Amino acid sequence: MPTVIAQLFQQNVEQQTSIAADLVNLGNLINQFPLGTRWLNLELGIAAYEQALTVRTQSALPVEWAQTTNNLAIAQLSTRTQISKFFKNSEI
Amino acid sequence: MEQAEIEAAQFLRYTLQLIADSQGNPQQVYPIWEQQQVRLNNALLEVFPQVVKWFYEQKGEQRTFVADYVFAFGNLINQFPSGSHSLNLELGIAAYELALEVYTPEAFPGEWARTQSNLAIAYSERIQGKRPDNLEQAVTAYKLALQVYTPEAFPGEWARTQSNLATVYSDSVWKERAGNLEQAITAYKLALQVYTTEAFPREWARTQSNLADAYSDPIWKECADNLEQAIAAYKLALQVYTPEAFPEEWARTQSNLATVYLERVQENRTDNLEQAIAACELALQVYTREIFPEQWAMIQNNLATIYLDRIQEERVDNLKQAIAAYQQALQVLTYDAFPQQWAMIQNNLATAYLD
Repeated sequence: MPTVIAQLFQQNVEQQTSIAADLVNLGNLINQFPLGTRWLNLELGIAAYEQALTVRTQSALPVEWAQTTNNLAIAQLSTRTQISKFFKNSEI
Repeated sequence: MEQAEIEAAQFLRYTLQLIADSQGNPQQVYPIWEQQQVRLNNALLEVFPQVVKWFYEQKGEQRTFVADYVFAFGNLINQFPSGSHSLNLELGIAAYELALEVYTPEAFPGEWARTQSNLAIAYSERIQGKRPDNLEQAVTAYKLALQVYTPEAFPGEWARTQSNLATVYSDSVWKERAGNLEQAITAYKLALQVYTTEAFPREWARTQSNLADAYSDPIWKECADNLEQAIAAYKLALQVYTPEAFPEEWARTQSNLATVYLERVQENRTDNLEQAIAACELALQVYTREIFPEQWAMIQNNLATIYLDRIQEERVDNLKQAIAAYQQALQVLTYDAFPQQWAMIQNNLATAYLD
């Protein structure tokens, strides 16, 4: 995914902003997709947000940057690693 | 909590973490469970709901992610080949029921249906509790799964669930045997709407074979037409179950076919008996005494029964063949190992000698 998207950005310099918006939509959709494996969908969503953020930088698009960073943070809270940590650190 | 409960809760926490880290990979989870088998105990079953509910509370809106690993635990423990199978199934059922507290049909229809379906499988295999009650639960859960698994939306899952449901209906434990077998036949036929010979040859053959089993049940004794249906379905199964591709399934089907020919009232009795002998002999090509002693012996017993009825050839020769076949069967089906079969064959043998 990162390789393909980086290429896409390079080849369509003028459309970078709209591609980034599509990536955020993709991330939002796949994170809510009811089928497949949830943790894998989540990882795909995170990858999409991360790629979008290479265009939606804080200096260039501060509002979009803030929204996407927020989505990314929410998704990252539930990754396998985070859930694993949650199980590990929970005191019973 | 008592010490045993605390230890069980710690083990559960550790196990869920392990499942998360390994992406639910049995090759990573099972070796660790093998080492810690003593921890898969009744105390774990007891603290299970309490601990999982506590996790749900902690995670709030993100409790779905906890439910995912609880569900994965259920799948892993039900398939775990070691330990107490009875307890493993109880743990699996507990896991699915806890996952269902989060997977509501409105919010997570896919997960809900999959969990209902797996819960049904666990109930149908359950060792504890009363078997009719467990099967009743399995039927309920399969029917719930079918609310999501419609033929239009999920044809594959729908067919699999119909087929599984049919297998539960065919179980011999039901009181209303005939009614349930009819339900089984209906469900198998529904499954065959998706399991076509082109798209799902294996599933198609298995379902035809199961359908034939249902049609050839002894309860239909008076119903000659069902035996004809059974023969037709076994023959269809044999289109896929060739001796080269599926030797065991082929042999089992031949053996079943022989039993149906023996019972068959339609057509010429002589022909039916000759067909039965031929099918037994085909089955014996795979069911050799060395590799499949029990199947081999049961076919010897069936062969003997057929020889007793045989009209073709000399009566004395047939009787001698029958006695020889019973004696072969008794070499494997000994009094110590198979008392019931042994007694049945002794009885058959006595009948043959009386002749």
